Amino acid sequence: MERKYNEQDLERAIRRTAPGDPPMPDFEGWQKRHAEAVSSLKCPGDKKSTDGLSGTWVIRFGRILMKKREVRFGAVAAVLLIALTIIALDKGTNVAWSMEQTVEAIEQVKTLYIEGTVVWPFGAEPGVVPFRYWVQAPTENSPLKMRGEIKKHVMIAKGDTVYECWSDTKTAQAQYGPAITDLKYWYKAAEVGPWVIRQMPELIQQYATDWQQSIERDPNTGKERILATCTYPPSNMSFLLIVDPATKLVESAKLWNNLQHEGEPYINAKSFVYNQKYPDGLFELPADTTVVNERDSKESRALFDLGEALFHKEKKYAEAMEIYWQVYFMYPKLNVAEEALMMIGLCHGRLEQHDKAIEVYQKATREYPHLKGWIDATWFYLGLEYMKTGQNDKAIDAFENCLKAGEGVRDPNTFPLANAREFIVSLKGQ
Amino acid sequence: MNTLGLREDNERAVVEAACRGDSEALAGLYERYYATMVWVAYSVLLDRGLAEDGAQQAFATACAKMRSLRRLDRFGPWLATICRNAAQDMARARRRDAALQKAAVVEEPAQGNSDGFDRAVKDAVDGLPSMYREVVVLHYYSGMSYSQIESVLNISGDRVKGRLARARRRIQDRLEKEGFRREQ
Repeated sequence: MERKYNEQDLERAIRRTAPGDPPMPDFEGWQKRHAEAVSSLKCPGDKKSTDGLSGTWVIRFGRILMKKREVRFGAVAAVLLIALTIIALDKGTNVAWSMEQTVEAIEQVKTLYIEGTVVWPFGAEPGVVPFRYWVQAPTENSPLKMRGEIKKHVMIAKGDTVYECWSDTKTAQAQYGPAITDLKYWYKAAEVGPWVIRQMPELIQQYATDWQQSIERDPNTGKERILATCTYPPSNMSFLLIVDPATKLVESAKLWNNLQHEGEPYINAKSFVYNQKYPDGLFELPADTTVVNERDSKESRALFDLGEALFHKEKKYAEAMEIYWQVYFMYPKLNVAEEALMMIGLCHGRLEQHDKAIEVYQKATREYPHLKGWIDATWFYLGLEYMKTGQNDKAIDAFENCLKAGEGVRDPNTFPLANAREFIVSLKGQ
Repeated sequence: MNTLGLREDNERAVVEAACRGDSEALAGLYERYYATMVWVAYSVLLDRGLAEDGAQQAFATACAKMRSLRRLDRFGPWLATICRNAAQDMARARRRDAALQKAAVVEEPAQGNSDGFDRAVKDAVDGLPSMYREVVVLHYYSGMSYSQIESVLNISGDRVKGRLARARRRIQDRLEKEGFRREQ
């Protein structure tokens, strides 16, 4: 008898055939076994190899700027730190301004607001996007507070707790801030304090090159300003910093991913506003936000995975459905609840209960219309069920909703968007 | 972007530091590339244990040769080439020992559905020419995106997509022979 499968079944099957768990690197074990290979890299005469602290600091410093998804707010943090540390390479030869003055000035700062643009390389629509970042320095009675916004992504930090959420959902994920690579430099800065790292200038001094500074007049305002540029070859970065000669504070900063200060800056911090009074509630989550902790997130996923095993491996659809319903009822505010509803629909479909499948998919699209995860796939499966039950007009609508929901979220040439387009053409041609 | 989504300029700094013997930088590279190298080796050896050995050997060889690396921003493709060569050497050595070969080819059976679909898929993947198998393993087993594969294999994104598409077609052809038909 001929057995049928679809593209998704095939892709899932390929993934399931991966042998064993994902490989886990064990550097220490490897280092012991290959000590000779590792020692061949050591160069006794190399200053940087013996100065571990400096070397590692600089590497971390580069990492924070470029690290995949975590680049978000860390990049903004880093721009300020870079501004304050690279400037320090000036040895005070310029009588009009020295870094010491800027450090002294910044120590008086209680709040800082930065806005500008950052290159956003993620998702279906990479490009240059605006960011906003608010920081309130820690005091004896109040912890470090921060709020960052890039696209729809919002981050609020109060002390060690960081909440991440998206403006089109009402769920925020709570995390331990100092453990987040992206943010640990802000925390580090807050610790060493008052809240700007003083040690970094010394550490980084030996790395940056081409320091140049000049005093010019702003062509728009006629106001005098200090322009400082330098490059940072190990990370192939270059910087432009503009400092107000009166206040000695950084007014704006740019960072490029090349040594020539060319092209669109990776970060263009257009405005630094100091000691602004922030509105009440700036560091608060909206009242109707549900905070999800990491434990809930892990537990819901573990339960969901039980359902997945029943569905995919054991093909026990009725039992899998029970588990998916538990996920939905226990964690209705989490993204996984919508995924669970979709899987319930699939279970009904496999059990040839098409009306029930349609009911559940409709429930999912009604209750989680903006959820960017599986909602496009849910619309797709709803369309399939309509097709199976001969409701072609409704199927076309569902496939079109699939395309809308997946726009800018998924690659249009992959499942389910490519499939939905094909079905629309096919149904309209009938 | 490289394998883990880090930008090449940052990677260059890390590789440069590793060349100077900075152990944290070396650890960073090892952690960043280890899993990918295991899958590169696996696509040659079809044996997970041997693939881990191959990946570790590749890092040791890379350490010994790292000072000769000219394009620091091409560390990933360079390491992948070393790893592929190491795995091919191991495969050749293994072929010399028929018994070992037999033992190694008998990989643990794939867990999955009872109608033999997973087994058939696994056989079809294992039976792909190594050029196609490599991208399938990196994409599906390792979860790498097209652009990540592009950077680690140093081939264009279109070629990655083309190889994956051809690999899927070959798998489907094989599955059809086994009595599985793709729904349209």
